[in-house]
Amino acid sequence: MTRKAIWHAGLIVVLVVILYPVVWMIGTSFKPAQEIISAVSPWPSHWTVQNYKAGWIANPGVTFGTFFANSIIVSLGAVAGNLIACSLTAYAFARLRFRFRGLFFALMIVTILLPYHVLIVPQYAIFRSFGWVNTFLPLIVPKFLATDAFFIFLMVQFMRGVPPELDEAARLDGCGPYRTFWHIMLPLVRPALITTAIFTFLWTWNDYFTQLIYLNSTSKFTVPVGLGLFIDQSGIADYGPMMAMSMLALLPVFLFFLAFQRLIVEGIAAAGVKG
Amino acid sequence: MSVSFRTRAVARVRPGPVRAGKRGTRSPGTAGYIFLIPWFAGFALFTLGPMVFSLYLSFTNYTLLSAPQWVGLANYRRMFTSDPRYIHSLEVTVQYVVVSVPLKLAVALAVALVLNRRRRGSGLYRSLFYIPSLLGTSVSVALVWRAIFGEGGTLDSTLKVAGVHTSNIWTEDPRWALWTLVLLVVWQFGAPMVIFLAGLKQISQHLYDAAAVDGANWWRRFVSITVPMLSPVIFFNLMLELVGAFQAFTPAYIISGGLGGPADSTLFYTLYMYIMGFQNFEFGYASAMAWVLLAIVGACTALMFRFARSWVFYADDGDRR
Amino acid sequence: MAAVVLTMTAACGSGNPGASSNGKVTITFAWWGNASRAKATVAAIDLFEKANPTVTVDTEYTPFGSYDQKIATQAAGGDLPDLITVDRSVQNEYAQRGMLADLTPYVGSTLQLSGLNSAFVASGQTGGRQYAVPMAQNSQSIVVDETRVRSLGLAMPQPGWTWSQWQGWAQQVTTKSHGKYYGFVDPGTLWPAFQSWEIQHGTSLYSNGKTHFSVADLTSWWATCSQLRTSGAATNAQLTATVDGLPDDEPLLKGHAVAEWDWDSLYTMYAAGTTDKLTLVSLPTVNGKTGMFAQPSMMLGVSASTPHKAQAVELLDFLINSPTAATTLGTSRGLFPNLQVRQSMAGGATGTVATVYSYEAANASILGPTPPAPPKGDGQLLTLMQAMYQKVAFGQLTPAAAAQQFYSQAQGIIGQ
Repeated sequence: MTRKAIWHAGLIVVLVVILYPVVWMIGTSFKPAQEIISAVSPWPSHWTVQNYKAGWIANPGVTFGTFFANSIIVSLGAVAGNLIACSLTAYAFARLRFRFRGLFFALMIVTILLPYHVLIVPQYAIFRSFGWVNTFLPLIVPKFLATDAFFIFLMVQFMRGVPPELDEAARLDGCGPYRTFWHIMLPLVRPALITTAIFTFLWTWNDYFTQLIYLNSTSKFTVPVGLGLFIDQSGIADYGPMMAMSMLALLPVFLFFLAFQRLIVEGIAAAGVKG
Repeated sequence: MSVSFRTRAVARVRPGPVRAGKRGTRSPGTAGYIFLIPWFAGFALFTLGPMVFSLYLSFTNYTLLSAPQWVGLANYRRMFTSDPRYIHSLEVTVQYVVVSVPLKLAVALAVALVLNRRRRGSGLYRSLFYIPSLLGTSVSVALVWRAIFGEGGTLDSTLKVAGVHTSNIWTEDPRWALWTLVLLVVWQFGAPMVIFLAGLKQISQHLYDAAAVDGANWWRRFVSITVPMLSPVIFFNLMLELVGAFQAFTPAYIISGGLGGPADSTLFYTLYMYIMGFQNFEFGYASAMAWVLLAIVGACTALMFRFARSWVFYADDGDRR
Repeated sequence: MAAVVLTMTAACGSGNPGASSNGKVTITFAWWGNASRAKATVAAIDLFEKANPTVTVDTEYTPFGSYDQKIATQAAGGDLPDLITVDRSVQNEYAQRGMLADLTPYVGSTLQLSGLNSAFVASGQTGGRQYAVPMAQNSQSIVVDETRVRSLGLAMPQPGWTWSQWQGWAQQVTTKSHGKYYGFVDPGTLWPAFQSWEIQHGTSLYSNGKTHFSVADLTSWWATCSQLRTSGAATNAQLTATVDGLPDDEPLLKGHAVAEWDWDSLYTMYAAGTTDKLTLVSLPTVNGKTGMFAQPSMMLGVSASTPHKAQAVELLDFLINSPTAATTLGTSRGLFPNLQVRQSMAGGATGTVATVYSYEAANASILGPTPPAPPKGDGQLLTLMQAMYQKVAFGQLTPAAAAQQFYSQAQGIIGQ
């Protein structure tokens, strides 16, 4: 009994320290403008929802709701792309034998190593020639073509953790690589798939630079770009609305994570690896 | 599903040559290529061209606003002989990598181990620990960080309580600014933590039970079961955190306002590259910097892959290189 | 699911920009700023569209920090907006790279520049041709927190004071407040402040597209600033390092100092951040010279590659001459360029805006002529100055050593 209590107590203490900055952010979002700059304590002395209202309608012609909707489209699109493309690619590297496998694997790893800032200018030129600038296409289509090598590598590692005897067994049953992939491998690496989904969603949700470069019209802006608009030399006292919108922006990702992280646990239980 | 296949396989063992699939219309080699079609397309369309172009740019002067001019190795020479800021950015980045990566992974693994229990509230705790990572590196995080580590901030107030009086603005102090960034990055340990959790869950409880029966204590179980079984995941996290740390950009960008200050103490490699490319319009130089970074990180990665054989244990017995 | 997403995104794809359908032309206008400036600008554009039914304007705005990168990427991709807001420090670079259209043919017809001060207009020229037009005017100032000064029982600083008078006064502020406030924010990181220093000493930053300042000039500037700092008159190194152009980081507003160097157009922003009374005072003088001048806060330029130059120029002309534009745009960028319109606006100005107008009016006679646009690379010196002086402030370099390093690097940057 006490062990359990200690476990809980210890976690809560650590959590308090770790979550203090978040508490500060929440508190600030409810503070009136004058309190934000001067105050030391995270809790407002006067609670107000003014920041939420102001932040929502801050930009001409669009509400923050538009930014949310755009971010959801882009993020979900990216998740779909990565799940499909990265699992297919990873399976090839992890399980299939073919000529030049080593070379391609190395090439794939190399793509993780080059900083994206340098690639963005030629990539911009390519997308422009397709006519895709100021659309969501540059943010989504590459995901369907397995450009996120991070997740390919993640899935390769998980797939290699699955005992090959299972593949063998399937092969003996007459399954070709496609059915093995679909019926055996995918269910067994569900935790990796969930992880990919969560991280893709999160990182796309928070991706400022790429979205800034490709999106021009305010009506297409996503949440990170929208948040960036609050900070500029021409304005002041916009920290309140910015915090408020940041807190709102946190909600979908938090809920997404909360909903799916459970599947990591359940996914493993269902896969029957334990016994 | 896997269970059923296993038993069926056991029941159906038969002698004789086993062909890869009754269909036999495709040789083993082509299936791989078919699965790789999306990757080939993506690589050809969006990656290969830009990569080759950026390599070409590294040998030019390119201001983004007019055509590139060939200058040969001038950029590379300049980096290593006449740009002290470049060398400084390398130093800052190496310091950052060497400290933040082990620290972040250790914290992530520790928390994952603690959370790896089927206790009530585990899910909630997991999500709560993950919240800092959900914030990403947006401007709001920079605000909070400066509020906490800035003048009269939380850190100062806490230290006052402990009797230490200082009016240091930690984020503006060249001696400390970098470490506030390390702290920021370690604070966002959620991603490797989740990956560790996923990996931990995949370790069969049988092994632990067997070890417990044998009388192994907690540490022994950790060293002999957890670490080896988790090694592919540790390797993955280590490699990716390392690459990510070398490429770290946004924390430094938002906390220092894009300047790498104070006094260049947070001038990360990619931040300097960004400044040279997008603020100073020396995109050729920036491209050269990118390729040097790739060489450095590539070398580290290659070394890691080579040494992985000695400590990483794969279920498929490492039939690779 | 994938199909749904792809269809939605394809539907969101923009059509061919600038396509004429039923004789309507669409142009894009880009600027930097926050949401409230955006609201004002969009309102002004709506007025333009009403007056010009054949033209539709698509707007693009981003925060200042990301603006130049976005424009550079667009330029590299051949995708520049038709009418662009151009930062002063890159104006010459853009013009020399052929990014901006030569507006000289339009001057006098579609583009009326006679209502603007001629030296002011001339600052938008490169090689004698008009490539950019100033969008607003500001000038240098010292923002002083009058409430705090008076609460310490001190008199306000006066226009015409010398640097040593300012230093003496600032030291008193620090002493009387027992170190709670500094008198002055150390201006050593500010490139425009150095520019005024040069003018005060009868010289200039640039001449004929090359640097004109000397190592000695810079050393004396940084030595003066260091003196302000070490004597306690100005903010310490850490506080000085927080100065990054963002309003909420300004030491004045955070309550660390009572006087700060800044452009007068930012006054309303300062005033909005505090309940204290703020006053604008002219710069410290050397031999009676303030080094102040009418500065174009930003320029407007037309993309050289746009097929819709005429319409873009029409919008440009509207934004600098129309009285309705003036009222709608407000003063977030600075004072309206057309002098007549500015006069009539000054008459009706109230509150914090009135303070800016009266400051400009009071100093109109001492404002020097607008210098020509800085040469290519000027923007880099701006950030280099911050990095270098921070090293001086933190004691890592002496002013002389830092000035020497700065100078040699500047030779490699300017006029490349």
